[in-house]
Amino acid sequence: MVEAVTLMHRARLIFQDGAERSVEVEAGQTVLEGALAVDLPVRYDCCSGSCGSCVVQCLDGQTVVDLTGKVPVNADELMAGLRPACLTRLNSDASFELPYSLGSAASAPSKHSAQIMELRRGAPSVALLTLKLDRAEDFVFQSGQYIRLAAPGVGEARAYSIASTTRELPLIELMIRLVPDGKMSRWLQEVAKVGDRVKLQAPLGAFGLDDRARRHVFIAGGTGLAPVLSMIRSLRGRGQPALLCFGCTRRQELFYELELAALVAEMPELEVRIAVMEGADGDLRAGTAVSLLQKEDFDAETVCYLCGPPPMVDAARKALTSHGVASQAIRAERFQPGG
Amino acid sequence: MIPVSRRLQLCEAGNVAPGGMLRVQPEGHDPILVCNVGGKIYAVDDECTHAIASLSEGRLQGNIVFCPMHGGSFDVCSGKAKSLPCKQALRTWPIEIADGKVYLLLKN
Repeated sequence: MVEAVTLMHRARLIFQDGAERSVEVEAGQTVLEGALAVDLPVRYDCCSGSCGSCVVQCLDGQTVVDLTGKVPVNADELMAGLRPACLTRLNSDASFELPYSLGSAASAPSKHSAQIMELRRGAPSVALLTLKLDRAEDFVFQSGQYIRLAAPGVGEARAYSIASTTRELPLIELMIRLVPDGKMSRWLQEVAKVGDRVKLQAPLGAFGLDDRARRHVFIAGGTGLAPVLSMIRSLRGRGQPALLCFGCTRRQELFYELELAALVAEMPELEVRIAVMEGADGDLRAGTAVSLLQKEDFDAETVCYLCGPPPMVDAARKALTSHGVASQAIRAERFQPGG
Repeated sequence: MIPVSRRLQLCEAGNVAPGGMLRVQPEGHDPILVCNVGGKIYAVDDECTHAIASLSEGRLQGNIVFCPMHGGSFDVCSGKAKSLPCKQALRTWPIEIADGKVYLLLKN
């Protein structure tokens, strides 16, 4: 007797606001393809395993992840149930939790034009860029999301997280790591000036606040500060306790110190700890952002947000796990300097 | 018959060999990608509808152009998106070939 083979499974998608949708995922199809086939507003960007925008938390079911190319999560994260929807196929019905609301106010990604309003250095290797969108009437983003910026003559567009909030629109603030020989880095240092016009695609990504959390812990390395700063700024007025652990490699690479001090003065519920790996003095601690964490920083209603280079994110996840923080209470965005 | 108010010269037809493509930026107009599919010329927008990328830097395989940024693809004959992350169709443009030159036909 030949056993009947099921060629189609169902993926149950549970959004942050509790909304649920069930989609058919055919054999060979990815969970993302199944969701997009019925036009669900799921977040995605590259569809090739590099951006991490479509990462979801698997709650149950048998999944197969294509590990042959780029994968935006590491082995620990796969073990913890994180799945890039663009690389995940089903061997059974399965359930997934998505880190944003189905009823999210964020706009669908679209292209925009903008003008440079301000360009300054935060540190020798950090450019702080403020853009003004030509048309922001229908543009809404969620704090934590990123844009793709295209500058004239630079070739490939690059992704940068937004450091400002929707309150500042039509202005958008970016923190850009300047890397040696990077085309965008060179353009920012040698060509770009106030008044120049750029194109961008936005909003992108699924990194964002968990509205169900009562306490927020942010761990940021370098320009990974941008999206968590947007999230912290968007918490203004809510009164929820928040902790930012911010780390830079060297004292002279530290940026945004004064602005963070001003934010703390404005938000008494916010605590900021800063560490540098070299040259610590005064209130600065020696070490990494992760080394600033203490066991007392977490309770059952805390959600942690990580943003920085992949080694920092990996180290932070390990540290949080050792402090007993559940995988579902950790959200991460990996920064790969794009040039 | 398309009511045509003006036409813009894009390139010499001979500049685009079968299987080839050429990015042209007419003054005051978004960049156009001229494609030669088996000897027939097509014109589409050069910018991918998904991200901000020039399709001319990708590759043309038959009638399918692949974006260099994320590998999404479009049918250059119909403009239809053929693979993710591209979902929105690419704009196609009517053209005319006269005296060995490719012209973009602009409607009123």
